[in-house]
Amino acid sequence: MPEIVIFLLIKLVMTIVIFALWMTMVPFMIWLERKVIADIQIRIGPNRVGPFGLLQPIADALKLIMKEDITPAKADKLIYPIAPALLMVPALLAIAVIPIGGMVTIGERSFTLQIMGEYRGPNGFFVPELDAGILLSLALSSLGVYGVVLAGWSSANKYSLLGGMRSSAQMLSYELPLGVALVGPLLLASSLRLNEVVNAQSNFGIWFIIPQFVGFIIFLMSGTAEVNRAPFDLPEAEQELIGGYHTEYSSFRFAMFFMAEYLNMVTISALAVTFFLGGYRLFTDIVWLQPIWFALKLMLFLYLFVWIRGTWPRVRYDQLMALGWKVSLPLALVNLAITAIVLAYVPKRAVLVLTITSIVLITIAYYGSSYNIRRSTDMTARSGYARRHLPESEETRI
Amino acid sequence: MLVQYLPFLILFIVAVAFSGGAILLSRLLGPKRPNPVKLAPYESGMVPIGGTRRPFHIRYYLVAMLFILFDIEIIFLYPWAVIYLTARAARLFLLLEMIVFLGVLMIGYIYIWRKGALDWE
Amino acid sequence: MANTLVTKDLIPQTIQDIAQKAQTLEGKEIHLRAEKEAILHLCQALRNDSGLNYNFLSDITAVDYYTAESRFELVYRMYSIPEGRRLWIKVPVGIDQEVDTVTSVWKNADWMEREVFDMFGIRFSGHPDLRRILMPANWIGHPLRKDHPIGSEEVQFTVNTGDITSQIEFLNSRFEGMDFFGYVERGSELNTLYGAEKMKKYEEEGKIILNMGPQHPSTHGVLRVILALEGETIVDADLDIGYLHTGIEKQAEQLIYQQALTLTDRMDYVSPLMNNLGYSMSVEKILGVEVPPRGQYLRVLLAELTRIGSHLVWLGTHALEIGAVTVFLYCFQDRELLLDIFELLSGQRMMTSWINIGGLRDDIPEGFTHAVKNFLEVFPPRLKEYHTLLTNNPIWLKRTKGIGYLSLEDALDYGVSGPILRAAGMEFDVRKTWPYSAYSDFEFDIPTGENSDVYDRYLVRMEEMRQSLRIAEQALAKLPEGDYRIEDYKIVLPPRQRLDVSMESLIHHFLVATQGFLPPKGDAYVSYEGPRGETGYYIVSDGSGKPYRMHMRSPSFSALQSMPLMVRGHYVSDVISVLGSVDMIMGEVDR
Repeated sequence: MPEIVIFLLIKLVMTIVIFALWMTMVPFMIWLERKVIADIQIRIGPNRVGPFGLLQPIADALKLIMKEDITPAKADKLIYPIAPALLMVPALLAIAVIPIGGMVTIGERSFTLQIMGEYRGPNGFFVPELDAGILLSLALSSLGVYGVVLAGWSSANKYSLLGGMRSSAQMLSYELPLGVALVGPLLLASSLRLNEVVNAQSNFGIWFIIPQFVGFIIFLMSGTAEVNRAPFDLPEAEQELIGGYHTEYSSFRFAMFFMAEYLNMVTISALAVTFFLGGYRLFTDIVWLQPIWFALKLMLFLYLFVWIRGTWPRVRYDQLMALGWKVSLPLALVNLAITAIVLAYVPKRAVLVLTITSIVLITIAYYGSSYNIRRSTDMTARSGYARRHLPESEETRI
Repeated sequence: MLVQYLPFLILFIVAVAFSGGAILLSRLLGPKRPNPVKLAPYESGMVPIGGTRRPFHIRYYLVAMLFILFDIEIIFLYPWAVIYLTARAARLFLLLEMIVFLGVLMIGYIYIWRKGALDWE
Repeated sequence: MANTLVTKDLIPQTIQDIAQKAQTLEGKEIHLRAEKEAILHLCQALRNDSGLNYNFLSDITAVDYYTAESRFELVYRMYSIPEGRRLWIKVPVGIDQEVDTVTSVWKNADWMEREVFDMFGIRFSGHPDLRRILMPANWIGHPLRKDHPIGSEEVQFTVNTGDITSQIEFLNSRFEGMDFFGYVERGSELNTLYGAEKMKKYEEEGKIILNMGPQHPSTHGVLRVILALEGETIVDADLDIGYLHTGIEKQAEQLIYQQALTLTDRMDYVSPLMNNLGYSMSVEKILGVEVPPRGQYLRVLLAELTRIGSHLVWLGTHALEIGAVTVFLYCFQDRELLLDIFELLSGQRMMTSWINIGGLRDDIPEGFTHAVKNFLEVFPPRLKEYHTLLTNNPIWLKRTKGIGYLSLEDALDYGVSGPILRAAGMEFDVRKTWPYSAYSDFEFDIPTGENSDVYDRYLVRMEEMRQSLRIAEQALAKLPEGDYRIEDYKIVLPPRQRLDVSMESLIHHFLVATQGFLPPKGDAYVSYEGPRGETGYYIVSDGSGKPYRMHMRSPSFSALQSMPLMVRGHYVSDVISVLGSVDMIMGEVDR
């Protein structure tokens, strides 16, 4: 058997396994979200289908498959049906470059647990990891905008249209800080390959979340906006726009929007883990434990997403755009400049210096923004009775 | 190296097959009982006034333009970031170069900010 | 003065008369009768004459005295606040006569006159937009007229498409050969105007017209808001109400007083006990009876608990609409404690009808004080938690501060009362201005805001909950012994255990339960401070056992009219914040 066939077979198996893992993450994530939110809200959450309600998302998916698939009379007959797929397929493809484990060696062949990762066969057969790495992932996540916009436009519904337009502008705007925030870790890692970003973190002996804390915060914020999660879930703000761009969708097409959202959330979390939390590495280098470390770190992020959703109100659209363009983008650029300067002048103590500057920068940003909020909202403030009698111990939760 | 991209092709086929298969399955399993009310666009239970095929607000166009401008600039940062640490000798030159580049970018950024292009009003 | 008819020539003299009395006790409550030609000038003089300053139009309604010479009587009620002077004007109107509109004097007269037109067919000349408001546009006749045939129209569902009985078919089948179309012909040309008509001009200008509601998650029931959008900015808004119209005012006319009480629960269904209180107070005023102190204190206690419950619903839905889902569930959990208390009291969670004409239905049961004390202990920390979650949250601040500004002048112009008016800085609270029940015995403060935005309304309501807790604590501590209701068995049912031993009790029981009591002729209106503002029931008695006319002054009905003013220039998302801060309950708006 020629080596390339074995290569493809191994990749096929790996693809299907990783795909399946990701697809099981979606129902699990839905279950987790409902359980955690329920817990935050002092409810029980799903507990009927399967143990602890674990099978509830499966039951929901089955139910949605059995539902009638409606195409509104005025909808665009070509674009309307394929719009969900335009969102779903890029969301699935974005997992291609994410490493969930290190180098595995079976006999004379060794490969990384990454769909587009490195592969070494016998007789010098060698396929390197994709050098574009993170760029591919970012490009694919931009493609998802098409699905959303076209879904909103083709539905011939005003709520969908508004949701779609909101969403396009939002996703575009946050693409920028998202991209810039990643340049900091890339500077430290000197590679676009995600596997090498992970390795760089173990070489430095520190997770990039410490020296690149500002980048991390911006990445988290932009990522949340990018995947339309609370408090940035404006395109589908049901209290304002009913269902946003998927108002008219039903049956499994509707489910696909949801799955794509959760897939994107998992992917963004996976990127955050890879870039800032040391990826699949933790304590030991036992290869078979690495996917588990990865999954655990991923859970941390997913929990964070749910936690934020359970706590905060939703921002308004213009505020969201202002946050993206006027705060996140300049902050990310400043962070990048500082990183570059520190690496140029004190490369030996870069981590320490960067940690200190991060803390300083984030403090300035925090107080700057709270001052800004106070200024912009307190302009006409005079003391009325109700204001004077606020309970004394209330604190700002940011 | 084209063989690098073969796994991506595999993933693509799997993804399309999954999406298409699920939609096909729901087509087969779901009922089909359309009626005019069901097929009408949903607008809080009222008959919509006016259509949706109308010009968008110019704001969205502006955002798209700005995005393309900045995104292209940011793409230049990536290759720069990759060689920055490895190119020891030229590091100061690289730094200077990027500062000039970012400086030009910043001038444009400040310009559009002052022009009010970043305000949603 | 009450009996002379004020004509146009008499206006200056009347004004002078009122001005003289203004500072005296007599000037606190003035009743006038005016000619219909004089009403506009009289109102202008009353409002704009600097000394009198009747700046707040509480209500315009009408009564159909079917047999009288001039068939209808319009009832205007206006206040001068914060002094708290009240003035009634009654205007007799014949069946074919038109009355000058007073929309130029008070803006909230708009909907009120539309309602009177809709319900009685009285036309207002000069009204900017006279069309039906509560009834469907194709409705025939004016339902609150005494000769309107009582019947129904089938509601259309998917199951009965095609075989709906129309109103006319129904009437024909029921009153065969009766000519009831004679009087309904007039006004039919106005029926064709729909709410969206006004928006057509924006459509032509290229704005997006967006329907928000009636089937929308954030319209608190079924309110239709029609928005004209430029991008996402609101150019104009128009409201369409009546989707929850249940004809309670008409129904009440068919029931004896005690039965009609149960309908009031369903008006403002978030604060049912308060409705009972308002209705009972009005009926008691006609009867001329005084509830004993224990009853009064318990009424206050229940009313304040109801207020907290209502504010909790407001806070929950308001936060939910701005995206804080968790607060919603927290609020409803706390409200559950209150509903448990009401259930302990009456066996019913919401529609208790527990406050009754003459006092309460029964004394408080065992364990009631314990339950209330428990709530008073549990709730303050929860209130603090809401403050922690929202009050200083930057997103919450950004979403509510400076949104939905309503100037004090506009607020008064639109007859806005309650927390919204207080947030605009006016210290007006019926509990202080015209103390009812036992409120003068209690110590509490009236919170006011100053910026008159969504955030200030939020702060005011949050503080009101705390004040309500204070009142409830005092009521519980000072609860006097004695009767919880008047022991007049011509009005209230005799105690159950006496029926077996006393023939007289049995007769009383029978009479009260079947024909009710017969109050003297007359009318009464007692206002109370509901969770949403000045509320009250206007009741007309013709001496029979059934109310001749019952009308609720609904605070949201007035406040809602100012909503387009509050949202203009804001974004679609802000409509949600503003609607939340208005805190309307469609049940009382549409009645």
